[in-house]
Amino acid sequence: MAQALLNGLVSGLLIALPAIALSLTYGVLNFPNFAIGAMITAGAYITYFFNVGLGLPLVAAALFGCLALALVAVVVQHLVYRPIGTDDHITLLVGSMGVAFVLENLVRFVYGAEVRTFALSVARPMMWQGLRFNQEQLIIAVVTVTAMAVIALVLKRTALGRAMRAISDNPALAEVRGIRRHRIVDWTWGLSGVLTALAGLLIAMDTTVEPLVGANYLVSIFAAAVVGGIGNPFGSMAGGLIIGIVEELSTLVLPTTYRQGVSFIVLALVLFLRPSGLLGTARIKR
Amino acid sequence: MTGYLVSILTFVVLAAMLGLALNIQWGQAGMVNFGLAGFYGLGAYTAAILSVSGANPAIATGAAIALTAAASAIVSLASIRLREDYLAITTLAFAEAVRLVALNEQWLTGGSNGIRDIPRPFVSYIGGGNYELAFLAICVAALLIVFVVLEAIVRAPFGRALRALREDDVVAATLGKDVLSLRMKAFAVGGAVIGLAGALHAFYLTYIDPGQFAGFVTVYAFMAVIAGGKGSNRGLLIGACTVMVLLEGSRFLKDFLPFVNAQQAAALRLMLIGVGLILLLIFRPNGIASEYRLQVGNRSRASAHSNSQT
Amino acid sequence: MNIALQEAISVEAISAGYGSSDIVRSASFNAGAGRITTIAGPNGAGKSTLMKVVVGLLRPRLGRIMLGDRDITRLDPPSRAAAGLGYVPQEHNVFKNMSIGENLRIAHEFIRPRSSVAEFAAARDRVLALFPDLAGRLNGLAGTLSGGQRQMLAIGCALMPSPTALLLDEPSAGLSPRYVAEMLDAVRIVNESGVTVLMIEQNLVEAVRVSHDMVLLVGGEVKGLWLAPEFLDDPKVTSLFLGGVQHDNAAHPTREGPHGTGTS
Repeated sequence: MAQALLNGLVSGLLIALPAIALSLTYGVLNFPNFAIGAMITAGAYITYFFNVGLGLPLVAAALFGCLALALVAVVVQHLVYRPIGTDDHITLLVGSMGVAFVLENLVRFVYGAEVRTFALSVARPMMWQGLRFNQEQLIIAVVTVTAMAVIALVLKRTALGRAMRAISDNPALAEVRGIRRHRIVDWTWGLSGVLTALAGLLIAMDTTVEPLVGANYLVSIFAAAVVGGIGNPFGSMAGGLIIGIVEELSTLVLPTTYRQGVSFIVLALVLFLRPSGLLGTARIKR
Repeated sequence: MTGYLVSILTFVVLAAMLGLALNIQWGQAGMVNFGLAGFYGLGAYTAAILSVSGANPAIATGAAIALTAAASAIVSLASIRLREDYLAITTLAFAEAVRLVALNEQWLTGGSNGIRDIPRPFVSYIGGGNYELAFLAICVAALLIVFVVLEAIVRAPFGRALRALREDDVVAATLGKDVLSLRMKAFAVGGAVIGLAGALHAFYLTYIDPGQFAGFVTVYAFMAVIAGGKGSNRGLLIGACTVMVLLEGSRFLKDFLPFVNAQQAAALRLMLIGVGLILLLIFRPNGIASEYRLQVGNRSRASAHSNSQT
Repeated sequence: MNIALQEAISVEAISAGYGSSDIVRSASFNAGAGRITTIAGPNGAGKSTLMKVVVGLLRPRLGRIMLGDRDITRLDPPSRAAAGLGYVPQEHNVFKNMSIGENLRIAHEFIRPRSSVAEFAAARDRVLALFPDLAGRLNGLAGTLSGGQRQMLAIGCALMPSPTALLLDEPSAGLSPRYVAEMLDAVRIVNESGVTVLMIEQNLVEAVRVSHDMVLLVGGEVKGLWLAPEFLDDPKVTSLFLGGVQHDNAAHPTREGPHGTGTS
């Protein structure tokens, strides 16, 4: 049971990163980015390219991977979402589905469907107070917590963070108070790209690099964001942990293949009963 | 050659049905169904499982329609909270759940191997050689019935209520329309049509597996609806044909790209479909045919790039 | 603190609306530099629409907006703010999920990005001196403020970047009488430092008390300009307000505007 909690915590941290990315873009653009799964996949493959393709050490590959995906996200914003129009959130929704399609199949086109792995040395799992965890989990924990701390800092203490929160709160007022929406949106996509690339890298490190690596997490990510209140990045952090733990605990009674099924039920229940999220961090409605 | 043509036409007819269903759900009622492929699979598997166990094809089809309609009604409860995003998320997750069940419950669905040897309906009445053609005729008949029924709904008060809902659900609610009940009905009607299409799909192919009900089905349906003009059933038929022609045409792509292997060609095709959807959304979000409705100078939330026709 | 440059807002032949029909039709008037001008009119006259055009939230179909001697018609809202236009919307005028301190900070840092910490502090102190009620609760969320306090914060935010012109959309809406007088007195104090004020106000008694000039907008058209003290006494005003047809084209006591007044 404690082992399940530990595993759940780590997998929850992993889910939290893209959930935060989802909330960030939802806040400034008012639509849920359905391409987030495909972006994770793209991030994993881009990092794979730098690591295995170009032979860079994993850390450097991760850095380039983050920057590259950030760039991709901004390009997609300019080619797809901005032309569609920032006000029409339903069309943006459908557009993100198109983006997901393109990204996922682009990856398939370039790399095919075989399963690949990063150039990593395999380490023995460690023991601590009777609980087992491996090197990947440690890395995941360190990286995700650092990333979350950085995001929290950006949101709370920087002008960019304030601008993002302002737009999320009231876009028209933000404009009148001098905030240039398009610029902030670009930066938000950049941040989202970094977080998603990290998640892609970490997931692929833990499992393998394959075209469905991100899509497999889609339901969990949405569940995490919804539980924490979609659009609330801090809620997504907590939501990720909750979903991770819930999924992991469910494997004690259900076959592991149904993890996402459990998240689906949680998602549906929360949306039906309390769509603003479970955590009582209810945002003051307009 | 005719065999190939018949096969394409059958797929066009099935795609058109899915498009008509999405047209009622999304085009008319504004409900975004990102899990369309999952409902399609639900219909197909229901018909297949019952058929293989010996049920009469009419009963199997009826069950497929009923079950899919019921599932749609339940899932649409997520829309109780007005925002379309929530329904989109829920339907997507539902499709995932269906896929998981299909993959894992071997005893029921055959897992990744799927279900084979689904008995074809009426095969004993029709000679083997003409079966495909006769089945196509059945599908076309079904499509026509569905079209007529849905058109009647669009023009009836129910349809007007749906469109009022789509434009502004707060206003519609204050007009006394029971928002949730209208939505559930619209979604269920669409679901019934999807279930029917699923059953026909199963009978036509006689073999189904989870891979046939993946995201691309949903994307096709959305493309057909957007190309044809959201809400317009006639436009949708044109849209569905256009989309199918493009898709089938792109199959021949690999003949022009010899350096690309079969797998890559498939990925390229799907990529182009995604690009096609995006281009449609940017340049033709209102489709080619206009909607059945007086355009009383009502520029709705169309983006600055959309063509202002009529 | 007196501002160096006093700028007039000039609305020239503005026609605007949503969709295919115009709500505002060829409206022209001048909000004099350093003066308080109030736009009055019955409901649905298009006052808010007109204000949105001046602020930049709505593109006019025709016409021009000048701030001082600059044509700001093509500028988007952030650029107009940088040019010296401050705006207080009627509703949703603060960031509810952010603290008061953050609201004030945001209101300053994007319009005056190159200012120093000292300049920001000075601006904030000026606003807090004007609205001392806000001083004690800088960490509270703006959404938890009462209506009157929220309005004060909204005005304070608009003032943070030291605008040359301040636009207010119904500053007294929904406020208790005590707050109404307080609010409009604050507006007058701001104006005394040289800020041009253009506002929409339904409470005509209070508006006339603090304003210099009144513009009457009926059915999307400017029906005339008056000096505030004479506004309520003029029988033409009452009849126009109630929708009567204006037969008498005798000159109203107006200042010279660039395009004269709209005719009925």
